[in-house]
Amino acid sequence: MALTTQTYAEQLGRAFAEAARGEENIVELWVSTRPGGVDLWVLTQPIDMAAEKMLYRFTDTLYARFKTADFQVYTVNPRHFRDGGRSAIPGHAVQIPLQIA
Amino acid sequence: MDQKTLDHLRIAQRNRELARSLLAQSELEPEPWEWVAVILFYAAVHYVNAYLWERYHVAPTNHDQRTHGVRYDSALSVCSSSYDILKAHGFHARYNEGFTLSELDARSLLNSELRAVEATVMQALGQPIPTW
Repeated sequence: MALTTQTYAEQLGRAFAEAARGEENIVELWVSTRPGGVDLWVLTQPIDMAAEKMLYRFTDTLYARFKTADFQVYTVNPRHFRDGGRSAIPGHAVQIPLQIA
Repeated sequence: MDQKTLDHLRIAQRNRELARSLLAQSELEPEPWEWVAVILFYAAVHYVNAYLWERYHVAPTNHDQRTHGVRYDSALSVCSSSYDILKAHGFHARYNEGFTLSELDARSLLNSELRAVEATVMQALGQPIPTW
Protein backbone atom coordinates (compact mmCIF):
# COMPACT_ATOMS: atom_id res chain seq x y z
CA MET A 1 0.00 0.00 0.00
CA ALA A 2 1.41 3.35 -0.95
CA LEU A 3 2.19 5.69 1.88
CA THR A 4 -0.09 8.69 1.71
CA THR A 5 2.32 10.95 3.50
CA GLN A 6 3.02 14.53 2.62
CA THR A 7 6.29 13.38 1.09
CA TYR A 8 4.51 10.99 -1.26
CA ALA A 9 2.00 13.68 -2.17
CA GLU A 10 4.79 16.07 -3.01
CA GLN A 11 6.54 13.40 -5.09
CA LEU A 12 3.35 12.99 -7.11
CA GLY A 13 3.04 16.75 -7.44
CA ARG A 14 6.62 17.19 -8.61
CA ALA A 15 6.20 14.38 -11.15
CA PHE A 16 3.09 16.07 -12.52
CA ALA A 17 4.86 19.44 -12.64
CA GLU A 18 7.74 17.86 -14.51
CA ALA A 19 5.39 16.23 -17.03
CA ALA A 20 3.50 19.49 -17.51
CA ARG A 21 6.58 21.67 -17.83
CA GLY A 22 5.90 24.54 -20.23
CA GLU A 23 2.13 24.00 -20.30
CA GLU A 24 0.82 27.55 -20.39
CA ASN A 25 -2.75 26.67 -19.40
CA ILE A 26 -1.64 25.58 -15.93
CA VAL A 27 -1.34 28.42 -13.43
CA GLU A 28 -0.75 26.63 -10.12
CA LEU A 29 -0.45 23.08 -8.81
CA TRP A 30 -1.42 21.97 -5.32
CA VAL A 31 -1.44 18.61 -3.54
CA SER A 32 -3.36 17.45 -0.48
CA THR A 33 -3.61 14.18 1.39
CA ARG A 34 -6.71 12.30 2.51
CA PRO A 35 -7.06 8.94 4.22
CA GLY A 36 -5.68 6.41 1.77
CA GLY A 37 -4.87 8.80 -1.02
CA VAL A 38 -3.68 12.05 -2.52
CA ASP A 39 -5.47 14.73 -4.49
CA LEU A 40 -3.79 16.97 -7.05
CA TRP A 41 -5.43 20.31 -7.81
CA VAL A 42 -4.52 21.86 -11.15
CA LEU A 43 -5.52 25.52 -11.29
CA THR A 44 -5.81 26.49 -14.93
CA GLN A 45 -6.27 29.55 -17.06
CA PRO A 46 -9.90 30.13 -18.03
CA ILE A 47 -10.01 27.56 -20.83
CA ASP A 48 -12.61 25.66 -22.79
CA MET A 49 -13.57 22.08 -22.06
CA ALA A 50 -11.39 20.60 -24.79
CA ALA A 51 -8.26 22.36 -23.52
CA GLU A 52 -9.10 21.38 -19.95
CA LYS A 53 -9.46 17.74 -20.95
CA MET A 54 -6.05 17.81 -22.60
CA LEU A 55 -4.39 18.54 -19.26
CA TYR A 56 -5.31 15.09 -17.99
CA ARG A 57 -2.80 13.55 -20.38
CA PHE A 58 -0.09 14.56 -17.93
CA THR A 59 -1.45 12.08 -15.42
CA ASP A 60 -0.31 9.26 -17.70
CA THR A 61 3.22 9.87 -16.47
CA LEU A 62 2.15 9.46 -12.86
CA TYR A 63 0.37 6.17 -13.46
CA ALA A 64 3.33 4.83 -15.41
CA ARG A 65 5.86 5.92 -12.81
CA PHE A 66 4.08 5.15 -9.54
CA LYS A 67 2.17 2.04 -10.70
CA THR A 68 -0.76 2.96 -8.52
CA ALA A 69 -4.01 4.88 -8.60
CA ASP A 70 -4.29 6.08 -5.03
CA PHE A 71 -4.49 9.65 -6.25
CA GLN A 72 -7.03 11.77 -8.07
CA VAL A 73 -6.35 14.75 -10.32
CA TYR A 74 -8.83 17.60 -10.44
CA THR A 75 -8.58 20.49 -12.84
CA VAL A 76 -9.83 23.75 -11.34
CA ASN A 77 -10.90 25.94 -14.23
CA PRO A 78 -11.75 29.51 -13.12
CA ARG A 79 -14.42 29.61 -15.80
CA HIS A 80 -16.49 27.28 -13.62
CA PHE A 81 -16.07 28.96 -10.22
CA ARG A 82 -17.58 32.17 -8.90
CA ASP A 83 -14.41 32.85 -6.89
CA GLY A 84 -11.97 31.87 -9.61
CA GLY A 85 -11.45 28.42 -8.12
CA ARG A 86 -9.66 29.26 -4.87
CA SER A 87 -12.42 27.65 -2.82
CA ALA A 88 -11.85 24.33 -4.60
CA ILE A 89 -8.32 23.99 -3.25
CA PRO A 90 -8.31 22.58 0.31
CA GLY A 91 -6.85 24.80 3.00
CA HIS A 92 -4.31 22.13 3.94
CA ALA A 93 -3.05 21.71 0.37
CA VAL A 94 0.61 22.38 -0.37
CA GLN A 95 1.65 24.27 -3.49
CA ILE A 96 4.09 22.58 -5.85
CA PRO A 97 6.34 24.83 -7.94
CA LEU A 98 5.64 24.43 -11.63
CA GLN A 99 9.21 25.13 -12.61
CA ILE A 100 11.34 22.36 -11.15
CA ALA A 101 14.84 23.55 -10.37
CA MET B 1 -23.47 -11.11 -20.09
CA ASP B 2 -23.78 -11.48 -16.36
CA GLN B 3 -26.94 -10.06 -14.78
CA LYS B 4 -24.90 -7.67 -12.63
CA THR B 5 -23.24 -6.33 -15.79
CA LEU B 6 -26.63 -5.79 -17.41
CA ASP B 7 -27.88 -4.00 -14.30
CA HIS B 8 -24.94 -1.60 -14.38
CA LEU B 9 -25.55 -0.91 -18.09
CA ARG B 10 -29.23 -0.30 -17.43
CA ILE B 11 -28.46 2.25 -14.72
CA ALA B 12 -25.79 3.92 -16.85
CA GLN B 13 -28.20 4.33 -19.74
CA ARG B 14 -30.96 5.52 -17.42
CA ASN B 15 -28.64 8.20 -16.07
CA ARG B 16 -27.66 9.19 -19.59
CA GLU B 17 -31.31 9.54 -20.59
CA LEU B 18 -32.07 11.53 -17.46
CA ALA B 19 -29.28 13.96 -18.33
CA ARG B 20 -30.52 14.19 -21.91
CA SER B 21 -34.04 14.91 -20.67
CA LEU B 22 -32.79 17.77 -18.53
CA LEU B 23 -30.76 19.16 -21.43
CA ALA B 24 -33.80 18.96 -23.70
CA GLN B 25 -35.65 21.46 -21.53
CA SER B 26 -34.37 24.98 -22.01
CA GLU B 27 -36.44 26.85 -19.47
CA LEU B 28 -35.94 24.89 -16.27
CA GLU B 29 -35.69 26.94 -13.08
CA PRO B 30 -33.38 26.59 -11.31
CA GLU B 31 -30.99 25.60 -14.06
CA PRO B 32 -29.81 22.01 -13.53
CA TRP B 33 -26.49 22.05 -15.42
CA GLU B 34 -24.24 21.30 -12.43
CA TRP B 35 -26.51 18.44 -11.50
CA VAL B 36 -26.29 17.17 -15.08
CA ALA B 37 -22.52 16.86 -14.51
CA VAL B 38 -23.16 14.68 -11.47
CA ILE B 39 -25.64 12.48 -13.34
CA LEU B 40 -23.22 12.08 -16.24
CA PHE B 41 -20.35 11.13 -13.97
CA TYR B 42 -22.46 8.43 -12.35
CA ALA B 43 -23.48 7.18 -15.76
CA ALA B 44 -19.75 6.80 -16.48
CA VAL B 45 -19.24 5.08 -13.12
CA HIS B 46 -21.84 2.46 -13.99
CA TYR B 47 -20.42 1.93 -17.47
CA VAL B 48 -16.99 1.31 -15.96
CA ASN B 49 -18.46 -0.90 -13.24
CA ALA B 50 -20.24 -2.94 -15.91
CA TYR B 51 -16.99 -3.60 -17.74
CA LEU B 52 -14.94 -4.35 -14.63
CA TRP B 53 -17.56 -6.80 -13.42
CA GLU B 54 -17.95 -8.58 -16.74
CA ARG B 55 -14.21 -8.74 -17.41
CA TYR B 56 -12.76 -9.32 -13.93
CA HIS B 57 -15.71 -9.86 -11.57
CA VAL B 58 -14.44 -6.85 -9.67
CA ALA B 59 -16.77 -4.39 -7.95
CA PRO B 60 -14.83 -1.21 -7.01
CA THR B 61 -15.67 0.13 -3.58
CA ASN B 62 -14.22 3.60 -4.06
CA HIS B 63 -13.15 6.03 -6.75
CA ASP B 64 -9.45 5.15 -6.44
CA GLN B 65 -10.17 1.49 -7.23
CA ARG B 66 -12.38 2.43 -10.17
CA THR B 67 -9.81 4.89 -11.51
CA HIS B 68 -7.21 2.13 -11.25
CA GLY B 69 -9.45 -0.01 -13.44
CA VAL B 70 -9.84 2.73 -16.02
CA ARG B 71 -6.14 3.53 -16.13
CA TYR B 72 -4.60 0.09 -16.15
CA ASP B 73 -6.98 -1.84 -18.38
CA SER B 74 -5.84 -1.46 -21.98
CA ALA B 75 -9.41 -1.36 -23.32
CA LEU B 76 -10.66 1.25 -20.84
CA SER B 77 -7.58 3.46 -20.79
CA VAL B 78 -8.57 4.77 -24.22
CA CYS B 79 -11.27 6.86 -22.53
CA SER B 80 -9.35 7.77 -19.36
CA SER B 81 -9.22 11.52 -20.06
CA SER B 82 -12.98 11.60 -20.68
CA TYR B 83 -13.58 9.69 -17.46
CA ASP B 84 -11.22 12.02 -15.58
CA ILE B 85 -12.94 15.22 -16.68
CA LEU B 86 -16.38 13.79 -15.91
CA LYS B 87 -15.06 12.82 -12.47
CA ALA B 88 -13.62 16.28 -11.81
CA HIS B 89 -16.77 18.15 -12.81
CA GLY B 90 -18.97 15.72 -10.92
CA PHE B 91 -16.80 16.20 -7.84
CA HIS B 92 -16.84 20.00 -7.98
CA ALA B 93 -20.59 20.01 -8.60
CA ARG B 94 -21.19 17.85 -5.54
CA TYR B 95 -18.94 19.61 -3.08
CA ASN B 96 -18.12 23.17 -4.14
CA GLU B 97 -20.79 25.78 -3.48
CA GLY B 98 -19.24 28.16 -5.99
CA PHE B 99 -19.10 25.75 -8.92
CA THR B 100 -21.11 26.66 -12.00
CA LEU B 101 -21.54 24.96 -15.34
CA SER B 102 -23.05 26.39 -18.49
CA GLU B 103 -25.61 24.53 -20.55
CA LEU B 104 -23.05 24.43 -23.37
CA ASP B 105 -20.45 22.77 -21.16
CA ALA B 106 -23.00 20.30 -19.80
CA ARG B 107 -23.84 19.36 -23.39
CA SER B 108 -20.14 18.91 -24.12
CA LEU B 109 -19.77 16.55 -21.17
CA LEU B 110 -22.68 14.50 -22.51
CA ASN B 111 -21.94 14.54 -26.22
CA SER B 112 -18.16 14.20 -26.07
CA GLU B 113 -17.06 12.72 -22.76
CA LEU B 114 -19.86 10.39 -21.73
CA ARG B 115 -20.23 9.29 -25.32
CA ALA B 116 -16.52 8.35 -25.34
CA VAL B 117 -16.80 6.34 -22.12
CA GLU B 118 -19.99 4.64 -23.31
CA ALA B 119 -18.54 3.74 -26.71
CA THR B 120 -15.33 2.42 -25.17
CA VAL B 121 -17.16 0.20 -22.69
CA MET B 122 -19.75 -1.11 -25.13
CA GLN B 123 -17.07 -1.91 -27.70
CA ALA B 124 -14.97 -3.66 -25.05
CA LEU B 125 -18.01 -5.71 -24.06
CA GLY B 126 -18.64 -6.65 -27.68
CA GLN B 127 -21.95 -4.79 -27.70
CA PRO B 128 -23.33 -2.33 -30.26
CA ILE B 129 -22.63 1.31 -29.50
CA PRO B 130 -25.94 3.05 -28.73
CA THR B 131 -27.04 5.80 -31.06
CA TRP B 132 -28.72 8.83 -29.53
